[in-house]
Amino acid sequence: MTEADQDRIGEVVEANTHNFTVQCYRLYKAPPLGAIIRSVDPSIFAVVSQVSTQSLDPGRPVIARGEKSQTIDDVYQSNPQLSRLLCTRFQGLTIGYTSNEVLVQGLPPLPPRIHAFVYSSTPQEVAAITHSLDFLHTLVSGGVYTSDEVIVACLRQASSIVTDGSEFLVRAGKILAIELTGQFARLNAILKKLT
Amino acid sequence: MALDLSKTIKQLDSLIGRLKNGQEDRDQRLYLALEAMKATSPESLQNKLNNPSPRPFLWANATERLADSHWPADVPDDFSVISVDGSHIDVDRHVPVACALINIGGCILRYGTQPNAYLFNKPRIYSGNELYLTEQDQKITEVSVEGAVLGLKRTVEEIRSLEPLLNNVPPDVPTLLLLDGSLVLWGIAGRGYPPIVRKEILQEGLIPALESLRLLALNQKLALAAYVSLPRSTEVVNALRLHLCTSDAGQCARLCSNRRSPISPCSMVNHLMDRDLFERLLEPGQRSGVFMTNSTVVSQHYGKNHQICFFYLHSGEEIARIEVPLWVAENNDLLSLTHTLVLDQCHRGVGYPVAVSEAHEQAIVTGPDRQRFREMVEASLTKKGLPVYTSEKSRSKRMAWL
Repeated sequence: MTEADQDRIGEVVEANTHNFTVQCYRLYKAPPLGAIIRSVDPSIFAVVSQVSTQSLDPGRPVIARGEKSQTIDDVYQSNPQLSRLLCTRFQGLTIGYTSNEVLVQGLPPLPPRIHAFVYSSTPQEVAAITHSLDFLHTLVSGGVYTSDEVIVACLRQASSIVTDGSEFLVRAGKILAIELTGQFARLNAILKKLT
Repeated sequence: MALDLSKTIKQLDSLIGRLKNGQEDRDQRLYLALEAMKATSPESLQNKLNNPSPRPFLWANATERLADSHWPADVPDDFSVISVDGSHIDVDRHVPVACALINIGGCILRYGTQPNAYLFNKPRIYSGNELYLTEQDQKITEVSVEGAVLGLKRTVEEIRSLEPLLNNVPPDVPTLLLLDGSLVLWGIAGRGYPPIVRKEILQEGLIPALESLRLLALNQKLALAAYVSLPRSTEVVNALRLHLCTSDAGQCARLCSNRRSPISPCSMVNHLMDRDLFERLLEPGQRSGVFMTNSTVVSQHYGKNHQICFFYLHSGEEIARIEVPLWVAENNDLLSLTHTLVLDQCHRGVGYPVAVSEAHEQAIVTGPDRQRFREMVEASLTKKGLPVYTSEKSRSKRMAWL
């Protein structure tokens, strides 16, 4: 399947070494928390965190409109302009990239370009990027850029895609035990959510 | 130095004090004016308004009784509302290139079974000969397209932009074209413009654009209206004033100004505005009867089909003036559609038509936009190796040094 045939999610609108922000083409059509996505030219892989929907224009606050509507869909149908004035964005925490067609886990030399297209990763890509689990080091040491909930969501989703999900989670748990040496409470909270 | 607010507040207090003192008298006159309005018979009103003599004020011709009111019809299952608005950057002699920019913004909102929205804006730069209205007869007459003339041109471009937008809505869906402000180009009256301005702006601009919409409306349910928020007009008040007036035209011209009269009973309506009357006459959702403006710009230049009529609407939040061309006012279906959809737009827009609001947001050129436009002009000149200069006055304003 070519890239053009895949569903494109959106475009990069802000980027730095650790993460990038993607604006979705369609309202509320962000990938779920923890999903692995990919920007292209060059390929940079990231884990979805912090999905948000807000006014496209920061100067125009959103107001309540549904007092006389029965459902939330009624609100959108009665105010069709909303779909053009709101936008969904999400952050991608960078975990790897492709260099000379070789998958490298870690931060790329340069962040993606603004307007780089962003796609959902295929199951094959998810399996490849999560194979060595080295990306956990990047996520765990991400500091302010990441949260344990993102790590949990990512591992859960990846375990449902790779061939042996249970074995994958056991391996991930062992690596987290090393990465979080001396942080027992934190490790315990993550492992509880994975089981 | 900034404005001295301590000096200003004293004057403001004095102003508010005077307003408060006059409030009781004003309320009393308003009550009497409303009673007079309700008591006006159609025959006596028509007789007075249709056989006028020159007066120092502008009054509306009434097609119904002054105090008539109407409820809206049901909102159609499917309908569209299209709105456009404009903004411009005027020619600035402190900028090294003579140019102006008109930005037309708008929206197409589709409601009902297939709700959708299309928002757009189209900026266009005018330069060179485009900055002049030119007529070459025995001698060349040229008028610069800047200041008020640029504003008139922008209004014409707004209305011209409506027709192509209709390709985006199915012809069998009732559609309202809704503009911000007035359909009457008041600015062209009484300024002593040479005939070329009226020719370009009205005869070759506004009127053909209105006519093309009228022709389309022959085959589809299409209405055109303009929304005036917080109107300050006094044409209906003046119709009542004329109806009440017991003086002859000569006495009226000698004693009265366009906004007040020193003698009774005309003085009853001094300083009242149309919206003061309709705020008390109309229930939320109701509209007034239809009136026709007597503006000389309209009566002399708009042609028979495009005479401008208007009614007042109680939107629930304010009294708005809705202007429509005669071809809408005379068609009960289109008039009713206009009333219903403008009211519906006000409800959806929390008191102000949502389409007009979105068109404005698309059209607006902000202060920072103007600054960036100027910088773009200068950057483009530099890129091509052309000289960039500015006036010392402009530089001084930008760098308010000590």
